[in-house]
Amino acid sequence: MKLLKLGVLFLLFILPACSSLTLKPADFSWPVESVLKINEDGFVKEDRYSLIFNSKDLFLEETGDSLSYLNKDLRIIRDNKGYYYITSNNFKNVYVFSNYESELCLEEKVLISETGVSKPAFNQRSPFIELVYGDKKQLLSNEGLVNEEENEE
Amino acid sequence: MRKKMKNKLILSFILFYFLLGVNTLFAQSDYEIVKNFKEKVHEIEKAIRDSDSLDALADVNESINQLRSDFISHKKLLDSGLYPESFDKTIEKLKNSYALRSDDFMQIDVLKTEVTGLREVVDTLNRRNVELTDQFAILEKQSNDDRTRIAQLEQTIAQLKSSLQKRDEIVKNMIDSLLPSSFSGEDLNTQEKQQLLSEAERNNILFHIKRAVSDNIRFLKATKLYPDDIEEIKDQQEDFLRIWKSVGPTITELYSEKGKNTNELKEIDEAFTNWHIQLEQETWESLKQEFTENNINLRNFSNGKEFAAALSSYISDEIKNAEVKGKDKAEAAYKNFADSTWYSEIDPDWVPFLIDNNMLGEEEKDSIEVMIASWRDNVYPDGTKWIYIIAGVILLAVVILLFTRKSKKITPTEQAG
Repeated sequence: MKLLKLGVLFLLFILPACSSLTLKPADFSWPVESVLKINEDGFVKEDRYSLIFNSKDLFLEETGDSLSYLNKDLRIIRDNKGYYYITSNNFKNVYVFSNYESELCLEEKVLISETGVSKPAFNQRSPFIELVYGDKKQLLSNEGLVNEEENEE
Repeated sequence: MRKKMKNKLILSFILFYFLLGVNTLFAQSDYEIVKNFKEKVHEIEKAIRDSDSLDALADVNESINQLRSDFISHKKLLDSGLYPESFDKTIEKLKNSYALRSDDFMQIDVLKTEVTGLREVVDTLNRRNVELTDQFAILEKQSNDDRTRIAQLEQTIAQLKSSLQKRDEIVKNMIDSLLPSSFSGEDLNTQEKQQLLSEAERNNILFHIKRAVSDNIRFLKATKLYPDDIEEIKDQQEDFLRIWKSVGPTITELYSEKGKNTNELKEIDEAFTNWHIQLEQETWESLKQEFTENNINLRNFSNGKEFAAALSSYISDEIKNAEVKGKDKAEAAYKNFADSTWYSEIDPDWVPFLIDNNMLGEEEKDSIEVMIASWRDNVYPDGTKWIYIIAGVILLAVVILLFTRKSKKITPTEQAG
């Protein structure tokens, strides 16, 4: 009887592991950021990586104005884990999204400057993303700002 | 003063490159690096397209080498940023475009030399054509009843025709060579248009086209044509016109843009129209000549209706005059017209050509044949009646024979019944 219980327990542990297949390591990083024009309906389209999403709510979140997306560009890059980093000219924040069933879900809203960042640009610095604005640089991860010491580690 | 200016220039040059270097140093965005590279590639591609000589291309080659050395440190970034292209592939493409364009210029140089050679041949052929035309005119005056001179005249015509054809071919090749080898009907760019114009002017193309068309018109006027000749000339006309239309509108457009006199171009268009009209006129002239050679003098005609009317008038006159002429003469006139001319020469050789080229309608042809038949009835009235009587007798005999046979077959059956 004891042996049977042990067997059932063993199966309970082993079965979930067998039901899924994991392929690793995987690298989702984009080598260079994309600068995308927003159309009049708020959509942006990235042809190389086949990505389309509506950016209206992002601008509403950032500026409180539902029409502030008009005539704007979005800068977007993806890190090796698959998180998307999005910002635009004069944004105060960088938005980190994950993708899930036809949606981009906000993971982190990283505050960069209370006054807004002029001419921001992303660089791929795997495993981080580098944000460049003016003569400043800031490393980012999906959890937020990365300290220099953390980076050196 | 000059030295100061020179120093200033060198200083500005060094400052420019220094700033360029600093700019590259502070270009922290990878996206900007890729964008800069792409822009420079586009500039070089445009320079390759717009270059107008081998010397200008030599500068482009320098730019390609400079681009490579400026961006080689970002090769890894560019390889991924330019996907599906890569840094090396892009440089290689530029080098290939450069090599192709260089080949084009080298080919143009070769063509220029060829065209110069062709120009000389055209000049020689033009001189020869003038000589032959003069010789032809003299021989034509002297050729009456002189068999050797007629033979000589025919030989001269053949030589003149072949010489004109050779010259026309060369002129057509010269026009063709004005267009870039890649031309397939779409618009030329400004550079290509400019080149076309300067080449056309340098090689005196407009003069040669005008000369070729007017020589052909003179040749038409001077010779008697046969349907085969006319077909050949028509093909030649269409070919020439097609080639002229491939460059003519562009040259006209460029002349107008530059405010040049477009009269010469209008003259060429008119010359082509005249050539076409002349060919049709000469066709009717040659047809009339066929009748004249058989002592049938028709009034002038220049279209199918007039041709049918001229024949109808001739036949009516002959019918009217038959009694005055007497039976023998009337028969001889009919035979000469119908047997020796219409059915032996005109109907087999000319009529199909005229109908195919919409110069004569089927109804007109039928009306001519009805007239000929009525002339025949007039010339051979008894003969015709006898034919009808004999045909009637034969028909009656056949009917009687059939009726008798049928009656014989029916009788035994009826008896049995």
